[in-house]
Formats: sequence, C-alpha cells, structure tokens
Amino acid sequence: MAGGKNNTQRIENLESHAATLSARLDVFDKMIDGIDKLLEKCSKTTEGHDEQITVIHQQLLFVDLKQTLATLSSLKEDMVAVRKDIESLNAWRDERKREKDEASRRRWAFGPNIVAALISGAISILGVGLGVGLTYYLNRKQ
Amino acid sequence: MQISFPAIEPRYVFERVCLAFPALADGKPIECYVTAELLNAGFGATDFTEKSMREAYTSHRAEVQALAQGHIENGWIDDQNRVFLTTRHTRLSVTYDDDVDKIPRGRDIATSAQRFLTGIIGPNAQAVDVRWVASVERPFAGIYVEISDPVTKYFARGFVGQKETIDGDFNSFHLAKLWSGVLGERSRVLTGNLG
Repeated sequence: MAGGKNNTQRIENLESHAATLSARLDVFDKMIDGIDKLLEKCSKTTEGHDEQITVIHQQLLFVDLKQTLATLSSLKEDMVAVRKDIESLNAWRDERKREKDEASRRRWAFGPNIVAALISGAISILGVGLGVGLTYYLNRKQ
Repeated sequence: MQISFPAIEPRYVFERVCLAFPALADGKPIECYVTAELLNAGFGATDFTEKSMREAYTSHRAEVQALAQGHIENGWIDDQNRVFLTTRHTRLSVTYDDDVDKIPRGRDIATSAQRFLTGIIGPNAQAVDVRWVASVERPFAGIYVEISDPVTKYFARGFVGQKETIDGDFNSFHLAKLWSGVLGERSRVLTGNLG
C-alpha cells in the first residue's frame, strides 16, 4: 500500500482530516459571527459619533465665523486709519508739488530780468565806448 | 438541566453501524448514537457485529450514558436533536487556577468564556486541555486562557479580560481565533500523515 498504510488507516486519516476541516469551518463561522457583531457595534458607535462630530463641526464653524467677523471688524478699522493716512499723504504731496511749481515759476520769472539787465549793461558799455571813441576821433580831427 | 435515560434496549442502526438510545433533557427527547468504533475502542466490543456491540453497551451502559450526558450538558446536540458518540469524542480537561478568584468577577469571566469555548470546541475535538490562569500584576492583570493539544503538543495562550472591561463579542472572536489555531495545527499534522 502507498505510504505504508492500508485502506482502513487511510480512511481513518481522511475521516480525521474531514472532521478537523469541518470543525475549522465551524470555528470560522463563529469568527465571522463575532466580526459581524463587532462591526454592528462599531457602526452604532460611529453613528453616534457622526452626530456628535456634526454638532462639534457646527460649533467650530460658529466660533470660526465669530472670529472671522472680529478680524474683519479689526481690518475695517485698520483700513479707515490707512485711508486717512493716504489722504494726508496725498495732501502733503499736493502741497509739495505746489511749492515746487511756485519755486520753478519764480526761477523762470527771475531769468529774463537778468538777461535784460545784462543786455542793458552791454548796450550801456557799448554806448560809453562809442561815445569815448567818437569824442577821441573828433578831437584828433580838429 | 435534568437529563435522564429511559431504561429501554438500544436500537441497532444498520446504515451507521451504531447503537441508538434515547435521552430526555428537561423533558425534550434526544437520540444518542454510539458508534461501533467507539464501542470497540473504548468499551470492549470484540468486533463490529450487533451482538458484540450490544454486549459492550450493556456492560458499560453507565459510562456510555455519562459520555452522552456530558455531550448534552455541553450543548453538543445537532439541529435534529441528535448526539453522536464517536472515537473522536471530546475529552475536555478544564482547570481554574486559584489566582482567578483574586481578580474581581474573575471566576464569572472564566466560566462564561469557558462555556463559549466549549461550544466552539464541539463534540469531536478529542483530547483538549484548557487552563484558566490569572495575573494580578499590572499592566498585564486579567484572566488568561491556555489551550493545549496533547496530540500535536500545540499550545495557545490568550488574554480574555479584566474586571468589567470585557467585551463579550470581542472575547468570542478571540477565543474562536485561539481554537482555530489549535485546529490549524491539527490540519497541518494530518496533512503530513496523508499518503
């Protein structure tokens, strides 16, 4: 006989094997039952937690909203202050520009006078020179 | 549970080569079958003939009925109210260490878990030793179960619980997993013995 066993021994072995496998299947059934019950229990717990999480989430959202509102209010105040600063800066800039224009206008207004004075001076010198030259020429001629 | 065995002669069941005898559990009729192999291996039947089986049964009636009673008490009855006594019948040895009583409700926890374990071990597990131990040292305080298989020498140990923190479903799953380990090892050994 194969494996040194007669048919009776082989059948007994197979019977034992079948019995053990059958018992294993029974245990697996029990394990699946256990897992099922645990899953059901966990699902119930999770369901409760879902509701709690929703409430907490809403509360957090409310807190967030309140904080956001406070921040917005603070930002609004800051913006008003910044706008005032910008306005005063604009006024200062306009004043500076006006002063600059006035200074430029004064500078340009002074220029022609000087030129006129210089031309007038030159003409005077030329007149004096011509006068002196003419006098000298006439004196030599006499 | 009130179990009794009516004093009538057993019935020979040709298809199964076994003897059938009735039992009453709290008034509910149960049919018990003892196989020719068991009568031959455990109760002195010289061969598998009806005569020899009846003689073995008659001379060991009390032992056979005690075995059937154990099966009924453990709930090892199939859905057709039948109990089968075979050569693979479960020989369960359960011991509780003294330390188990030092854990609050320790004995209740252990006996309740043992009831479940007995249910999943079933009637055809052969020899199984179960020992309930307790540890009072933190952080491992609690009830532990040790299952050993004298045939394969496999040993499994698992934590069952502590005080009121026990989850019945979790324990059931955990005990089933431990027993599954024992059966897995048996399968492995039996597969090694095949052809």
